[in-house]
Amino acid sequence: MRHFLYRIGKEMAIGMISIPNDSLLHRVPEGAAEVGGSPVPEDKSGTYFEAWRLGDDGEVSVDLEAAKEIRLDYLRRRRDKIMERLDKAQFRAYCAEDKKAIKELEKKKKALRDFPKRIDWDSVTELKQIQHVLPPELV
Amino acid sequence: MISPQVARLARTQGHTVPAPTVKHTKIDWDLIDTPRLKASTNVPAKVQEYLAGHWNLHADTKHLKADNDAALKATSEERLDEILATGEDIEKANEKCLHRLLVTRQRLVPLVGELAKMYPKSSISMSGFFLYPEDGGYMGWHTNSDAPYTRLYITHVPEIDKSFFRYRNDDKCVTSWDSNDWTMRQFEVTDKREDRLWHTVYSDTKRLSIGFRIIRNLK
Repeated sequence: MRHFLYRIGKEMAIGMISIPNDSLLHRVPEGAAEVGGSPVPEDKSGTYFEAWRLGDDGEVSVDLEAAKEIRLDYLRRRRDKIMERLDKAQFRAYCAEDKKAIKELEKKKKALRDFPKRIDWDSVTELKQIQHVLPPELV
Repeated sequence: MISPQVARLARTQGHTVPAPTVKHTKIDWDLIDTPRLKASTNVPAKVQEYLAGHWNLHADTKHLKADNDAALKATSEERLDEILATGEDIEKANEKCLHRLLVTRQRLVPLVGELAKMYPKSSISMSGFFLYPEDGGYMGWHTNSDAPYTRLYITHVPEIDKSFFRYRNDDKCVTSWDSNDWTMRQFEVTDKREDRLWHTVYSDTKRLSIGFRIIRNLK
């Protein structure tokens, strides 16, 4: 298997194509750089693929700020699922006129809404640190 | 009070930790208190409460054959000397004899919530949840250098002084026996070659151990 990375249009985004044999080389876009199976060792699963950047020298690097955005998006989606559960629980508490439970749940929802402000992104200086950003309210 | 059904299930498929009887409200690192490693018998009451009860074994580690001689050899100072002589790092233990335990989100969330009170500016993720079998449960020497963060391990044993956490500090091996039913250990893992924290666990009793990575990346 041969792997190639190429730029998509004038954007910084890149695409990747893998071909099992050379008869399919015509499918590889012009200017593509051949890379190994895991061009970014710290990101073997490609979780931060959208943050990969292809240099003019054919070297692959990771845009850390873009990777942080990807992580934040993931955390937001996680937050949304938890929020949905809390909304349902709060509605049940409302129907039961349980004011204490309503207040407790609202406290949890506020913590979820505010989680992005809690993250100290300045302390995250390497890609491998990004996956460990997980505020406890999102567990 | 454990029902007969749960007791039967525990004998065949899982492990049950008794409910706490002693309450602690503050962390006092009464066993060891150094910058690199701290240990305490004062595991907060709520943490004990959340870890009490039945835990199911992961299917792929249900059938283990513990060998006490092999466990003692794998966790010995001599074995560490052999490993160090190779110059190689062992991030995750290759040699081990332990069960992995299953934890549901419903049980993990309140536990992490409690730990968040102890580490308010930290992301907290579970790094492992194990049951070491009696008669030779162990995890061989390793460094965890691939995840250089603070580690917190909370352990419970039904019999004291039959299991230990052993580590290398300043060229010396230190053996920290589980001298209390509940113990909490916090240690700093680094990826610097000259400062790796080699550590290992041995058990001759059913030792429950849950570990967390504590990463200071919140405001």
